[in-house]
Amino acid sequence: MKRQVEKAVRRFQMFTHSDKILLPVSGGKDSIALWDILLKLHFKVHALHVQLGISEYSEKSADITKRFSEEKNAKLTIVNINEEYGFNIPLAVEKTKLPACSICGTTKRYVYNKFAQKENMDVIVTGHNMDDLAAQLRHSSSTWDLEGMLATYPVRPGKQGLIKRAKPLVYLTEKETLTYVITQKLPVFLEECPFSQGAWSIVEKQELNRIENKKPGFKYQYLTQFYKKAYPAIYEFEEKKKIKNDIKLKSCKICGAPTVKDYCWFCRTRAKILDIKLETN
Amino acid sequence: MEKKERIKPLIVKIIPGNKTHHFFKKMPVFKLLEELGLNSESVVVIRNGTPLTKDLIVAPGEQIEIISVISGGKKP
Ligand code: SF4
Ligand SMILES: [Zn+2]
Repeated sequence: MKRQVEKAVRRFQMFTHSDKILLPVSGGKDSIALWDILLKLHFKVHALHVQLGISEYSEKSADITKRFSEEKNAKLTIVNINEEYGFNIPLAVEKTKLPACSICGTTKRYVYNKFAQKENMDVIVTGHNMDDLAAQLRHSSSTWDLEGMLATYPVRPGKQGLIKRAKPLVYLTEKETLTYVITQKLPVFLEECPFSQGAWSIVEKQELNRIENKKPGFKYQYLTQFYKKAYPAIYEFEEKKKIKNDIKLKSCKICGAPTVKDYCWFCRTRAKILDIKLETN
Repeated sequence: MEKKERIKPLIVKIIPGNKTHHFFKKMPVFKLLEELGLNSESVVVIRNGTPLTKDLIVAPGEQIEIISVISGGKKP
């Protein structure tokens, strides 16, 4: 397990031992496994748990991360979005009628990025495993969503106000991360978020495992061959398109985050949730 | 029937959902999964806190947990 993470870190030049690493932790098997492995490999890792206000689910998730941090004497910060930004996910869903995971995902990404900038962190690492990435690749490629396909790559360079991101569990399957937390007897929270919509990802994962069962090694090949053979060309194509379309990023008038409009998606959504009027010119 | 009641069954609990199944014969893990219609790639089978590999034998009198590894939540 440790070796697979080391291999990914080296192969994709994710980070080094001198980098300050931000690790968002949910308390689920993947983030807990990754936290433990990064600590064992002596990386400088600072964990961040975002409390989303999703009733009992959020309480229990936070408890697990606190327990792990106490047991392992590991650095952990908990950010409560209600205290910090004045809303929680259920309220946001009610007010915006957007899918929970879309608001939640964007909010978490926003919080990670803000925190990483404030603390001068070099990289944000997430617990996406091989199954997550292969499922996402299948899903995105079913509609040739090129941006979505590119997002499965294990490392994304930082640019214009966005911190570099990496996915060190790319070579590990879900089965392996769960087996790891059980054998290492780590505290873990196995319940699913009540908002979890995951329908497509569950279907894709089951399908991939059905093939894997008949053709062992399939998932690994599927992903790594994409990275090797298709990713570079698609990346270049998309970059050229951006230059041609001359997409210029501005800074959000409230928080300074990169955006194509006056205000970033997060600030606009937050204003909607809290009934705040934003000035436009 | 009477005989079966005297033997302690192999108790299999499936998580999430906590559905329980009883079996009365010895078999390797992969056979058990086949009978339950589960894909060995998608679950972890646990006995006394230890994950079991596909070829290990499980038997009546034991308690087994099968945890689904597939999660649907979106990671940012
Ligand atoms: S499942 Fe969706 S709503 Fe729940 S924590 Fe994950 S992203 Fe947020
Ligand atoms: Zn903003």
